[in-house]
Amino acid sequence: MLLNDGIPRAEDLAKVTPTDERLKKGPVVIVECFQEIPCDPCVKACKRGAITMPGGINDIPLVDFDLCNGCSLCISMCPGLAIFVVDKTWSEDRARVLIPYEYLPVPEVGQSVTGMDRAGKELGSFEVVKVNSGGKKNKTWTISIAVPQELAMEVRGINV
Amino acid sequence: MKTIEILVIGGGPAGLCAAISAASLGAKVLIVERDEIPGGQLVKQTHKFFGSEKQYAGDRGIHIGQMLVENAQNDPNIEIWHASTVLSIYEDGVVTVEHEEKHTKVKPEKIIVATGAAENFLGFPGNDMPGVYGAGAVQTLMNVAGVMPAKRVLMIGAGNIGLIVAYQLKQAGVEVAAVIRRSPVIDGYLVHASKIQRAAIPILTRHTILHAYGDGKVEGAVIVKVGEDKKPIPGQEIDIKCDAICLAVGLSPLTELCWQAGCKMAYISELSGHVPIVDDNLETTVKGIYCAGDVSGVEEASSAMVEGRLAGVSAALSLGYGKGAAIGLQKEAQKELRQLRDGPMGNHIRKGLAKMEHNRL
Amino acid sequence: MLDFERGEKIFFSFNGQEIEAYPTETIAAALHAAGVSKLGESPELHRPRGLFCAIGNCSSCFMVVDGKPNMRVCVINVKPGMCVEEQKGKGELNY
Repeated sequence: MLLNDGIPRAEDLAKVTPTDERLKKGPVVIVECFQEIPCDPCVKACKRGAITMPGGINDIPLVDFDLCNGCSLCISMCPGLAIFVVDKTWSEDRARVLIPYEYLPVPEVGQSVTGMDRAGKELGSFEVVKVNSGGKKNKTWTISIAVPQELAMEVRGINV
Repeated sequence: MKTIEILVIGGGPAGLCAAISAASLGAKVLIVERDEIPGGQLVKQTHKFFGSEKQYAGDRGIHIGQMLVENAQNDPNIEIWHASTVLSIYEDGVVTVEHEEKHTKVKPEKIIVATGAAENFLGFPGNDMPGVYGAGAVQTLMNVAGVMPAKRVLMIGAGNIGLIVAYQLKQAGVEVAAVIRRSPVIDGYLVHASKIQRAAIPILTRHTILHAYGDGKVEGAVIVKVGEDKKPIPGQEIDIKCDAICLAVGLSPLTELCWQAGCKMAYISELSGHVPIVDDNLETTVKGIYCAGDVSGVEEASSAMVEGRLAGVSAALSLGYGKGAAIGLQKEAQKELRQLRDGPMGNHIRKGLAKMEHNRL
Repeated sequence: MLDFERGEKIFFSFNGQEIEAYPTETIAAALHAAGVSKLGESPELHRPRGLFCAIGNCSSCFMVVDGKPNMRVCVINVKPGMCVEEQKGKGELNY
């Protein structure tokens, strides 16, 4: 269980996963934050108002998937590194997964990196397709990798 | 003897915020800090803070620390003594300080105690060997000194400190063998736990350390799975090779000066130990002595900063500064504290504060 | 995540041996960088002692610095030519 080891399970993920229909429309955010903690930078990060906390800063973030356009600005703003963006429309056979990253070395576009699941298990080698710096002060990088469609909801970490 | 309006003991997040808020209302403040560099534990917090914008959420602790230190250093109303240790608070209000290797006396009108907390120790055979560190010590070596503390670490405790330091070790290129905790549930933020699981650092709840071994320094440890009764299950031992064991098993408030000053104290387990009883504006039962931060109950640094602000404003107001603005500032800080403690993660703090209120009567 | 500005290298002595350090480091950090984790010995059983809290609180890191015992080397920065020795036992004042 998530509470025992920190690994989100299917029942947790069901609460934060957009519908297949939404996933087919284009990139969309997945906020894997399951605990009421006092924290709200994601709400401020979203310029479209897609992430809200109606009950105050201890709320679990509420995502409006129709307002979200998958811009990924919120990824590097989350102190918990719990936000990802998935684009299943990236190509016929591959999806793009955007992952927050705070290690060295920072990978380069075109490089192959190891993709890991939520338990740290290696899922294979995937191509880095985009690298975004969070800025000099923020220092959280957003790494986009291309993964087979069926792994889009599995790959959540990388090892360079 | 040096006289000053407000003496702030401790230059961490609470102390710096206390000094800055009191000085902004016009009070003259002296901060006494034990370490060579002010900033308290912020100087090694490379992770981003939680909370809300007003507590600098999303900024990294080190940057918050640098900003607070700069603000304090650039404030003409604030003087900072570093590498100076407060030794005692006497009945007549005189405070003695070891400053520039001399025994120095200070006579403040108000005192804000922001001494923070220290890491708890854990009893197990071999715990006195070099290589057994407080998790914060390892953070200091890595993030302040830039020194690799070890090659392979066993982390004991899965609260926020244990989880965050495990992550920072991995960032520094140190292998973390496992994070273990005796209880079945993780007590730190789950997002931290998920983050380190993704990085292939196992979190073993229901596990405890049996003993550490090594010839003159740590070379490994034996951990064991515990049952429902929290007792070790024979045959479930695991030998873990490591050259350091980090203890992240809670903090205890550093209250010696509060005891000495005669503040009314109470043991409140939810606030992590003996704490001074304070009122809504953080004044202790000794008039003119205020507390802020972990010393009056161990919490996140975000709360410590808001408490510092509250204590600073309150002390300045009692000296006649900030009439008009101060009451609004106090109310605002109290509201922020309520928000930070509002969720389920604040349950124990709210329970502890209710006990504190009961003790005031 | 971090950049370190260390300044110029200096040297100090540990148990008579020359050790490299940076002036921005504490004595404890400089010794760790040099691979030294044993800082002293306990008074009665003479068991090795190392760093524990690194914030000047716990007294595990007491060493003899320039002849003075019981110095908390986790909060004292290294200075060129400083003489640092392992402390065995409680330490004596020689005034």
